[in-house]
Amino acid sequence: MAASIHNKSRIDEKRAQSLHRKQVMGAWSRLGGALAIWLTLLLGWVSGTFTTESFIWMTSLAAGQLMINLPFVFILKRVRDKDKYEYISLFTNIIEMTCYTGIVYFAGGLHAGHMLLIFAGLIAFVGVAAPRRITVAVAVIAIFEYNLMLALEHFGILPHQNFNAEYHYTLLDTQTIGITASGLFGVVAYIAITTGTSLRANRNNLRRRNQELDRINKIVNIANRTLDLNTILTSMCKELTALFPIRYAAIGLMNNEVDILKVVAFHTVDETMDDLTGFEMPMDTFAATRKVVENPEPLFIEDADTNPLTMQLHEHFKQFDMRSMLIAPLLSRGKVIGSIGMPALDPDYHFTQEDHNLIQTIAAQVAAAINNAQLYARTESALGVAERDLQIGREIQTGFLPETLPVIENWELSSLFVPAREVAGDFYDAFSLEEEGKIVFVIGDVCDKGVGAALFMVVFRSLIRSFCLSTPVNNQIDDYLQGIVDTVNNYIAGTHDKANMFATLFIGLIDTEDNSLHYINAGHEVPIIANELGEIKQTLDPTGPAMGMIEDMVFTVGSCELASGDTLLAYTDGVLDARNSAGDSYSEERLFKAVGQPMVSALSLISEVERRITTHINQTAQFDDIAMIAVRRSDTRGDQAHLLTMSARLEELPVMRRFIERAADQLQLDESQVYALQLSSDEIVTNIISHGKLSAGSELVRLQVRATESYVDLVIEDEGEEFDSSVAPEIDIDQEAEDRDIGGLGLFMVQEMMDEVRYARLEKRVNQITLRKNRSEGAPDVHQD
Amino acid sequence: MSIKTKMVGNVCIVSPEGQLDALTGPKLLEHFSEQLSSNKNLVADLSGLEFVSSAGLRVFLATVKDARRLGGDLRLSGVSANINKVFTVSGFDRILKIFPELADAINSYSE
Repeated sequence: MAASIHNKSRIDEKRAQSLHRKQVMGAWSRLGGALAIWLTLLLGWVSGTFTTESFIWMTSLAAGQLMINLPFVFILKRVRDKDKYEYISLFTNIIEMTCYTGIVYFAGGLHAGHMLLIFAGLIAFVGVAAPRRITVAVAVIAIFEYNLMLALEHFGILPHQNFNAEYHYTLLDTQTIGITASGLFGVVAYIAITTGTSLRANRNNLRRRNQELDRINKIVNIANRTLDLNTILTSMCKELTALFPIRYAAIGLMNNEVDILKVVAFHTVDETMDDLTGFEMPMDTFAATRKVVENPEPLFIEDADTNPLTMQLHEHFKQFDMRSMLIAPLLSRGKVIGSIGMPALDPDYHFTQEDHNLIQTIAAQVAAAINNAQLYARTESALGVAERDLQIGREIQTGFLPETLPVIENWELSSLFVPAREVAGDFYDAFSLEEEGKIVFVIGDVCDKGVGAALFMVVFRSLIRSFCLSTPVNNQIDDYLQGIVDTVNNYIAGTHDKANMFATLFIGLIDTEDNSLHYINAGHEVPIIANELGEIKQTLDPTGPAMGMIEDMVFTVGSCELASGDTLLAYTDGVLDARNSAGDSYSEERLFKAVGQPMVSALSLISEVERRITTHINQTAQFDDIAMIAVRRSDTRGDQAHLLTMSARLEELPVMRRFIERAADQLQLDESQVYALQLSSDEIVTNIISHGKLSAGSELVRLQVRATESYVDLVIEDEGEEFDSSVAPEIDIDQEAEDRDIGGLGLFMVQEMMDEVRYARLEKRVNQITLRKNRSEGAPDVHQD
Repeated sequence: MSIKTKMVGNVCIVSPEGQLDALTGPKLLEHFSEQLSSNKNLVADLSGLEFVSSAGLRVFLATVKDARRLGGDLRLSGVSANINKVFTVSGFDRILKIFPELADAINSYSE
């Protein structure tokens, strides 16, 4: 009878607070009620309805009931144990009930009938504060107590508390009162319980709603996590089977012609069922599909096994005992792009309005996910097209750069081309003429950007090369050059007049017989000539306007002599305009400073300028193409050497690798040899940077490439603490991943890749590592002899 | 070096492009770590890499260890001849599974 309390759990802080709050509210309301009763009793006593004795008893009981509340409110505040809480709560209520019963008893028999209502009302307060079980328990106890009192009075154990002193309660009276009282208490208890129940039901409803919202949220998150449509849709099917009492969820998509619905995602809770993915439902034969397309609302079919709409699938439904089915359309911009089919587990299940609403919300999410995936696919392909265009432009550009630079005794050519992100019209060219001892080199910049400029670059470059190679020089170099430039100028200006394209250009012809340079500078950036000490001898100013603007322009030819050790550097304006993140251009000033350094080869000069520009730009996106070509006369005998001095910074590693690559290409090493040299230099220099302990002020690393017929030497020098990089730790390459150590791998690789590794400690704190790669027999080198 | 990432099924494909050295290595390592927090099956498509040094090997080694600890793996594809030489000389081809085509690497996870 007493409330059975099994739960040994603890109440959490929040719940304890809320219960306590209710307890306090209950206590206050009972206090108020008790006060109201007592005032009524007072009036009754004053008017003589109650004897003084009764009145005193009633007052004591009322006071007692009031007093109970105080300490228990305090005790309950501290209780955290759920069991204890309920026991104490129950105990308080029982005592209160006893007091109320006593009050009513002392108010006397039938005339206390009107008290019953108040009594009942007070019990209801109990129901508010207490859990359901306690309400029932208390109601039962109150009924029991009241009946007990009447019975005791009837059998004379208790004195009569009757208004009419002569009236004696018959047993029938007792029963009637008892039953009425029980009935009333029962009603009140019921009201309290059902209110509690409906409150609880609401609470459960809300909880369920929250769970559903959580599930919807999960579905939305699935849609956003990946762009792989099939993964999304299959996950959504899984969620649907968790949300609704269905046997499976099948998502079907309409094809482009809108005549076939095909299942693209499927999930079932029934292990005996086959995967329906790939199943097709043509519109013309499946009436259910047609209906959903025509009337885009969730379609509920309760007899799917016999309904004409699902004719083709009757066997399928019968096989799995499915009758009740919901089909929800997937809408995108008002058009039906597919549907979700969900047959219920229970063949008689009736999808509620809530189900309908929920499935529509989810269908909207599914449709949105499909839309997104399709949009993304379209964007990707559009981006792919744009990227492809850029790729074509770049291929045009680089395809028309010379694969190899001409090699001629005592002369060295080197070049650099770094395209900007957007295709532009920079180009350079260099080739030997049929006449011996003559080299032509060109550098140009077609105005504007884009594939158009690239195409015009092709025209300029091809015309110049073609005319140069097909026109005889006949020892009239100036006429030769002038003729070619005139012809090309008139052709472009005349034939492609509408395009309004023009190009700045520098064309030079080197006559190795008398070491002279003849040139035309058609509006192009002034090339610089410096001697081997880095002193700038002269700059070659424009000798005419840009080419291709107007026919019959006048281009004059300039000439000068190049001494041994002289280097000419020609470049495009991308070099001068190269900007760092602050917007600072590299500028002519810095370029002149770079050229004004002693250089051992044209390649070294190109590499050094590249290094400085790269450092200046410092990862900022490049705006314009950078093109350079250097020509150097060098009569010295001996092996060709190239030198690069770099700062010991990881940021300069790419420039270093390009220097190595350029030098190795000039030596015509094969690809794997080039890579071996690049890798080895990278490992050594990275090691120096990480461990070299270079002293401040000497953070430079010098790399030198020297070649003979039989080998290539890469010499790396730094001014750090003594460290012998030729010694690499033993590495067991058979070790498992877990056992592999990280250290020492770089130097080990150098040993493996190079044929010889030698270390020397030179004076003035210089570490010198020489890496040697043997060349294959008969390979050409840039030997000056 | 730029890095592209995409998912195919439950396999995460990381495609670094450019040069992988001591400068760019940390960036790739961090990227792999990020991916490992939600995907344990990784494929590195190296067809866009022009250069790999021992710093790159360190990144792959660290990542494959982490991935295997999670029950996954790091597998490679699109390895050029030059880069493959780096793997064979260092013995890393015995530690990491290398596949000729990206599709092979992805499918190896389904077996």
